[in-house]
Amino acid sequence: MTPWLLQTAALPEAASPIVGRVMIAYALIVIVVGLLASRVTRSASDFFVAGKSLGLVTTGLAAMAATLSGFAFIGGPGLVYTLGLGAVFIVLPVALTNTMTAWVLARRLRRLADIREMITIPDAIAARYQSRAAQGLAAVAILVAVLGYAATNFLALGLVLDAVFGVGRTTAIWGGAVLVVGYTVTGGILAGVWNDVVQGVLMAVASALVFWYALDVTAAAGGLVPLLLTHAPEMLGATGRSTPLAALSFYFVFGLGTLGQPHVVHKFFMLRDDTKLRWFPVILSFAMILSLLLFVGVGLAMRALVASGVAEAPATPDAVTPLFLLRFTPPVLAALVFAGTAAAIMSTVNAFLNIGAAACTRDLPRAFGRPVRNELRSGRVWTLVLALLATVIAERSGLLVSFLGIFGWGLFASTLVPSLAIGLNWVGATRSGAIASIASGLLCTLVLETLAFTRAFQFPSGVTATACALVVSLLVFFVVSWWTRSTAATTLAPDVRAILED
Amino acid sequence: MATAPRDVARWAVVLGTVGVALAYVSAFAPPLIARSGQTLMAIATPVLLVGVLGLGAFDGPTMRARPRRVLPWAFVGLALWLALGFALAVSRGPSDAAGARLLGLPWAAALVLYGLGAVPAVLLPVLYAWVYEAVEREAPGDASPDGAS
Repeated sequence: MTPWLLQTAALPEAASPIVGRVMIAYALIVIVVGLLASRVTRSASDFFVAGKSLGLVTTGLAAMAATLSGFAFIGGPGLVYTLGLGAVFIVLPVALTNTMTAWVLARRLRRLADIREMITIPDAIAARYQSRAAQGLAAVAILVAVLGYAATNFLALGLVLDAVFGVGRTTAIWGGAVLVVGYTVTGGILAGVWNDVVQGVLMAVASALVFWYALDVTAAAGGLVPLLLTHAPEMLGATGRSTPLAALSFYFVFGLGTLGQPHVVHKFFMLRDDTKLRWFPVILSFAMILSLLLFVGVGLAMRALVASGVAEAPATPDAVTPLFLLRFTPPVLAALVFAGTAAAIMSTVNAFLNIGAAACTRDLPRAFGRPVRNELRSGRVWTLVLALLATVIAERSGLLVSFLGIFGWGLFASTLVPSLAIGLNWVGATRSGAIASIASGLLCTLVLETLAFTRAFQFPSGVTATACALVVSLLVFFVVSWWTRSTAATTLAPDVRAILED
Repeated sequence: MATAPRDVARWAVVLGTVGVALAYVSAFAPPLIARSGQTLMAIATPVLLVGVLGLGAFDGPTMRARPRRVLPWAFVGLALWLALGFALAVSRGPSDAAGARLLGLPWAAALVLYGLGAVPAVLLPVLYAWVYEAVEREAPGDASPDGAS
């Protein structure tokens, strides 16, 4: 994944009594929710898939909260500030992906969970292809991605907490980690999902209010569109300051890659009743659009305000949102956004730790034919171990966290989109195709991202390692499945075939 | 199982993937070829994504119910709409922001935010809800011999 998705630079200081009080209040809510969830978490199914007990709205908000990390509030607006409408191509696919996920994955994953004991995405891959190797490979990919992604999110959380409380980066990282790990270890995914509901509402409301302020402030200075057309017209060009290929690459990677994000799609296992899916895309789209107003609005507004001399230029793109909030919105709203950002990061980390722990507890042992007896206890232990590792990586910061962080989204996309999203909708996909595709996705992402990170190889503008790995894994999946098509029928169990064909 | 629409969708995914791959390869070539690669990417990306959408949507119950006549055309329309929008977006330079306005935005920004963003964001979830409702309603009486296509 490209480095701009990672928030690794310090944010402007936002220490004020009200911001601090709102953050502390939110932390208390998180702790209470964690304690409540721990009282009803009695089995591995409760811990990893919330006992398949979620309603439609909860599932929708949880999916949204897991999708949007702190990037939506901090890194994203900074990128819009830099690239203009070119950066909007990252979130444009939301117009498709909410419905696509429902059609392609939701009902099939939920029904698979009815006929098989299923709590992880690699479980679904194992059931689809009757292959422990495919399950194990998918788990390895998830584990690598989770570690890097969780580390960058712990660092981002530390930066937000440090900006608010001014306690120093190390203390802030460990403080944030203790809070997240506390509720993740005790309450599992249930604590995460309940917090996601609070966080989802908070993000949507705060984002809509900030967007309104962005329009209001720029209107007083002459209007957002007139200011941009006068001072920085290229920002409102169809692809802004990015090249057309780069903008389309954003759309391709974030459009297709969404189907391979295990921390999001595994929420479908948690749904109580798949017949309630009718309004899922409507709910998810509405919440997403509200939450992404800040992403688009603040970046463009700050560019207009800076270009017209109303606001000072931010030191880094990541400072765009904090500067706007502290300068142009009431302290309570700034506090809500800071809390919302911290909450978004915590929710994403919770989901990552949960699927990482599931990979260690369930997928890898099963791939080696040695299933764990007490999966609940093992899940809690692995959550702790992974969180500790990620926090140490985050605390050391610098090159290591940036390097590991680049593997997140792209690794999920290249290893899981073909075998999971296409494989669950095509009976002709074969076990060999799935294994070859996951392996090539894993290898390509690791090699190409490393080459790009170390600058050993420079891609042309608009071409990314993530996109290349995704294309390669798709092509390998189709070619190998076609090559081994005579084995397609033996790959499919009759009950799974019935779900795929229905 | 509804094979015909799903076969078309699968081929759309395969061809879209090949198109995206060629577009990326063209980026390594001289500028003239690279520019045609952008147009190829503008067409291949929607073909691929809408193909995936079709793979999921053209399932058995849907293709035995009333939406079987509407859904494929809706998806063809969506792919054309997106491809046209992308092709227009990449054909204009980044400084091409001024000029006529649509709902308060310069046409280029309106094309991206309204055309490629808002229109599918509103229509697709509604289409999904409509298809879902139709399939649920018609599922119990599902005995039409020609419906299995």
